[in-house]
Amino acid sequence: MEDLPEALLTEILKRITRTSDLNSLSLVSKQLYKIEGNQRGAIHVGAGLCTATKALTSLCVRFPNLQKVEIDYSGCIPGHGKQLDNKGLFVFSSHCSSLIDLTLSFCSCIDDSGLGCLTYCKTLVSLRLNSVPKITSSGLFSVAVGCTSLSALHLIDCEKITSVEWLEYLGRDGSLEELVVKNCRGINHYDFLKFGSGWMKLQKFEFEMKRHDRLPGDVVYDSSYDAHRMDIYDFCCESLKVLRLAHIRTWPELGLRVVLGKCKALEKLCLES
Amino acid sequence: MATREAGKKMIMLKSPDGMEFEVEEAVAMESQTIRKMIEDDCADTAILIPNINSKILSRVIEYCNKHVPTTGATGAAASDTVAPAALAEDLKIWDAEFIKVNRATRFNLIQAASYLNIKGLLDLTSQTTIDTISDNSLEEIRSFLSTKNDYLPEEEQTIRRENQWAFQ
Repeated sequence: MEDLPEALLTEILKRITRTSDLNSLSLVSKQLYKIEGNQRGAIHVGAGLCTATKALTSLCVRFPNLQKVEIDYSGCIPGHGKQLDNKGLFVFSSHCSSLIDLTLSFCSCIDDSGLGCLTYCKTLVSLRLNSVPKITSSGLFSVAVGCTSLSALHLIDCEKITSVEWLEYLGRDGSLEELVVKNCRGINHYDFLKFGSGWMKLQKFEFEMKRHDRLPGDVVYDSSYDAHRMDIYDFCCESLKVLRLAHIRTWPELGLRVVLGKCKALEKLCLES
Repeated sequence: MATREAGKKMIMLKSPDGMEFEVEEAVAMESQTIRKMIEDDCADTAILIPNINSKILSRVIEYCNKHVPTTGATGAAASDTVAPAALAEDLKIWDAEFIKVNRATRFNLIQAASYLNIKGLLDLTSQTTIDTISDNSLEEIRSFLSTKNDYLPEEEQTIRRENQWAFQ
């Protein structure tokens, strides 16, 4: 009667939220190390992470039930210290069979072939790419095709994305509910007209143009604009609840302004000049 | 044995050491495990509660007595008439006193709360255990959980290194 059975220890451990407490517990004994590792659902790593394949593999074995992984190198100078690369991302994507939510922030060593590894993550629902400078449209296309459960995509400060086939693909076959694009130089607001029937399911949409790219009086024209071809505006966005548009100007064409007239379920609107 | 006293249905709970406790059905039903037995009509005679000795069972009943939603003469819940915030505050103070027990009793209460499926009691006992873990050194946690350090020094070093970035 004096000791707690493992099932109850697990029960108690699940309630612990402070990482310092979990840290201590893993050092108490091998049994607690194992229990803590099994119940761990989220991890946030960055500078200081040992990127050797062996170390990453042992990390993934230690935490076999990770659902949320955040790899964040913000504040690190690229080239100083080894960062997680494509090979490292492959270790995560191939070991974390329950991965639902992945965030890559300021990962300067990851490119399209790294994104290609994510197609192993059939359970991936949410992907956030924040300042991943090397990725291009082709990497995003493989994500669009491979990650069939994807429902939230955030792209922030990804400079090399220049075309939007991935967006057309997601619009046709995906089930995206949340799309956030900020400060991506190569994507302009006319591109989102190509999202087509994808707008139907979208619940949250946020688009922010890079501010210093637009000089006063400078207007982005849609090169593919054709006054006689109005069918690009022919889509529904009946599920859209949250809409934020920042730093865009649509003139003389209708462009993204068309969305404003279409969303009947809107709950939150934010327009910034 | 189910008897009637002042119009309230009573339930008999029996501990393995032979003690019997007569409690109101509503109090006993704070335990989801017992509730299920009563609802499945398995409670005609005394209910034997295995693995929970009379000392612990009496404390569990004390907890349930305090936490059962009391009913007034009209049948309306007391919480409708007394300000809910004041009632909750009162319960919190009572809980804090209730859980001032030694380690063995607390562990027994956790096991009892888990077996009898009494969510409030399990929350209370678990949180107190978590607070103990937060406030103490590794050695103290080990003695509290009566666990031995089974790491080799180098294994412990490896985990300490890994923990530096595994717990950001």
